Amino acid sequence: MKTVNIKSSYAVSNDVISKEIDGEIVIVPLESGIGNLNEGMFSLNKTGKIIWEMLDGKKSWL
Amino acid sequence: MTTYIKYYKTAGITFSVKSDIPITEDTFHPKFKLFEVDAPGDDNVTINHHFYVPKKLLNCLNPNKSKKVFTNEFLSVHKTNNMWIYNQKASTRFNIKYNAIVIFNDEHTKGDVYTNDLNETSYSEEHIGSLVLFGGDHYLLANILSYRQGFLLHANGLAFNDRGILLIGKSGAGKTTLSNMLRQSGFSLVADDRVVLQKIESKYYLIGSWCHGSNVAVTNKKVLLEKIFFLKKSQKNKIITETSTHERLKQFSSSIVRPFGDQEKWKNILNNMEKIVKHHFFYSIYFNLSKNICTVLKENL
Repeated sequence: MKTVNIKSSYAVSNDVISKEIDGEIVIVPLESGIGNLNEGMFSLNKTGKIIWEMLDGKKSWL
Repeated sequence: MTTYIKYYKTAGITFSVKSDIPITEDTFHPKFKLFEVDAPGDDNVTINHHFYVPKKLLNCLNPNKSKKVFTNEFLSVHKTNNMWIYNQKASTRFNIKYNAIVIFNDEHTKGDVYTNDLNETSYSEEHIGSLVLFGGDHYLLANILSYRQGFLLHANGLAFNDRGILLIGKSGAGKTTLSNMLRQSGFSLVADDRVVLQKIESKYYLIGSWCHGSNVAVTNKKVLLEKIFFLKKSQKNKIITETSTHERLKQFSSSIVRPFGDQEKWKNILNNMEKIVKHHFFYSIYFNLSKNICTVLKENL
């Protein structure tokens, strides 16, 4: 499992696309196989959305 | 040299299949008869069949020449700057009959299929189930539709009085069981297990194609989508409105046959997903085998 360094800053990868739909963030990795989409799609609730929107490559958690 | 051509049309797209050896009435599976047309249309995809595999093509699969974006037991997919390369290995386990390399341009509007596994005799009587010699044309349609305001869904489409309904559920959820009960109750099949959903002039339509599940049941029907149902096996028969956006997104997206793609393609897909999730009626449908659900469903249409 990957660990998160709270002193590092993180940004959204260019290898994913995301869209806000009715208050939810939907995230799709561009290259994650074939088959049905649910095997490669994520949706974030309100808490996840707040964290996602903070991933600007500048902020760290400390 | 003579070029032989057949045209097949679904979702407003005409697929021109070209070959240097004759395409007979028995080259493709009889299911294609429903979709055969006489000439190209306004929106065309060309697929050329070749009965050899050039050595230089194999070089394209070299990691220095292309990026491998997907691999499984019978298929690897590679991407260059402007081409998609599908390398299929025959597999009896997965019912894949041919070794083939298929090259498509970025938009999947022009493809070349190369195989050593067919000759003039076998090609004339093979009843091939896919225009690109795959197990089916699911990946091809999923990619092409993503540029045309559409999806290929792993779902069943039915109609009652020209009102289309979509039945979504995982394998084993009862899509076939419920579809059969509804058909006995006056509903008609639009598509079995793979259905095209496409936006045409601001409305979404369910459209039949030659893609299907394990049963070969196809139609060339097109009906307006009215309602979307998520299947739940139960002891009771009831229909409940699904109000949760999270559930709508999760369940609807679970049925989308995923295309390979770039940012532009996925923006189209997510934009259409948003419109469908926001502007269509979603329900959870709980049903047992008593067929009473058919009456409940008709009352809710």
